[in-house]
Amino acid sequence: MIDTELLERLAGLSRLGLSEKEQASLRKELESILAHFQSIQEVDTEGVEPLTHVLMDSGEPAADVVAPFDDARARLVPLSANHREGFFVVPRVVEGPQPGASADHTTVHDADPGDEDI
Amino acid sequence: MTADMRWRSVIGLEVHVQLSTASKMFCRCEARFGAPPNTLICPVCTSQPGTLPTLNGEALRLGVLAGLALGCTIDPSTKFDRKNYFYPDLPKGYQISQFDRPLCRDGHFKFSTEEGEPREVNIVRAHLEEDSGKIIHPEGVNFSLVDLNRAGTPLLEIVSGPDLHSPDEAMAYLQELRRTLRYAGVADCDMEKGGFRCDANISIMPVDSDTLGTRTETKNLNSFRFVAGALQAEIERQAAVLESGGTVIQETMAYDPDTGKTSVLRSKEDAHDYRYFPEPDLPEFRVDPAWVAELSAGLPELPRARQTRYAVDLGLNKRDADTLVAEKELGDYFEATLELTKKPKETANWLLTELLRLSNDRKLPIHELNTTPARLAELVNLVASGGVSIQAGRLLATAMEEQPGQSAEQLAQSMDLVQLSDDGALRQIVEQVIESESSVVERYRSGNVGLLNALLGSVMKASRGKANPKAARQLLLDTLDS
Repeated sequence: MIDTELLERLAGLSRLGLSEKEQASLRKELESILAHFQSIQEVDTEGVEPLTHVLMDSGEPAADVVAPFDDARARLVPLSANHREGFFVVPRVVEGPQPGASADHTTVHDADPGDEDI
Repeated sequence: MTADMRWRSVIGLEVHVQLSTASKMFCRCEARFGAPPNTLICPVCTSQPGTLPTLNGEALRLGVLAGLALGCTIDPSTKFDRKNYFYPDLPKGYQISQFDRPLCRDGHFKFSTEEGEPREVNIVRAHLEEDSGKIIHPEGVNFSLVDLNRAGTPLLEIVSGPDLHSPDEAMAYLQELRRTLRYAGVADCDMEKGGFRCDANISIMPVDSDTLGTRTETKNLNSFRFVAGALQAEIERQAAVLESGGTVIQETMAYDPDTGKTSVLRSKEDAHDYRYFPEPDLPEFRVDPAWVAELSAGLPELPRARQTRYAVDLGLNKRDADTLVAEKELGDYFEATLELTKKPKETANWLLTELLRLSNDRKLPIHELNTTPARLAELVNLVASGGVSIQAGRLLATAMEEQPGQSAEQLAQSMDLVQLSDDGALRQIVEQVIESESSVVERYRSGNVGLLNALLGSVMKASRGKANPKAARQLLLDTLDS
């Protein structure tokens, strides 16, 4: 069952703001997806190695040769909703206190939020 | 009593290392620091719809090499997973990483503390993943700026076990790790360019307890100094919390180098929930054990082994062995010179004094000097054979660097530095001195044997410093006592 709390948590993780109407329809969709997986889970997989890819051992890595995408900035940055001076512009995101932040310089935020327990 | 005496700290480190590839992890954009924003990007690393990643084979090779250098087991088949989170530095909405099948796991890594105590750390895992972009927060505006040049740069995340017990130990581990990865040719670990970044998990427990305390994680420590400062600050903060009757909460901390304090970045309630699942856009990759064995055989001698060999087999003192091993280029230069001189101590001395001086003066790395290992070997051999004095050797070192076309011997001749060791010329000078310093000679002969040094000084002076002191001394003794 997808309750409101779980739905809100998922929406929060996905940075989605959902209207009540959207919540209702999304809940229905998610429940049908879960029901599908529940029926798949009935298959007995005892002793079967997990399979993540249908084609095994098929990966052939690429050579490490630089092949630049020409005029990358001019062609790609303007595709975003908002940009300036060659940067993509996003709503301000500053998570928690900024180490070393001071009035006279910009801070570069390395925002790999890192791993929890793996 | 300091916190260190009442509490035992338990530290595990996660290190992100940028692998030395030419191109990015999953596209062929150049992986380079310092380019103008968003000039090293393409449809793949900006995650345009319909694009697919292709794995950089060199990143895989370097990951395996690093794992071998860290004593890890290499997974014969490796896969990638999506780590989902929404943040503007990550245009796909997920990072391609590795979850349950890291490329490398169960390593054992040895290092020594500053006092020379041997330690071993378990390497829980080391896995490949892509770096995120950079976000810049200009002051006084309500937006942030995103530069995706770094997005997709290959990283190896190296996770240690909770096996470190002080900030000093953590530092010693990090230094050995960095040096080892540089020797293995895996990464240059340039901290200023973000090539070596560290997150620290820390908990403390009473010294007489064996129950682990609650840990916190301090993120984004990108210099050795910050790591030491952050660990000390966090140990003291946790000790103060516990001693005032409080409890440590599992949360993510940030370290402020300006205040030297840690503060809460995220509480556990806000903890990310990454919803890992296998990356469907990349197949599994077979890592052929025969290929791994080949890479293992080709791994260069690592710094710790080299240091032990220098101290034990070559008889160098610890300080010289440490210095020679600190940078691989210096050690390699030493090896190449030693090959031609077979004189470890003399070679180390000349390299660590004169060659480092020339390198400093000229602001050139040692392997870019005109003085190649072969040239240095000429000098070491010339001094060792008594051809020139040590003092003359120093002058010669500079001259050799300035005149790379001339051999050590040619320069010693043209600079009139060749030492007088042979009987003829030296005997003439000795006899002259004995004649002109007759009063000193008389006092010497009547028992004031300390005056031999004064006579030797006169010989050196008369030869304008070119007399071989050892030969001159013997000749003086022979002549005076005859």
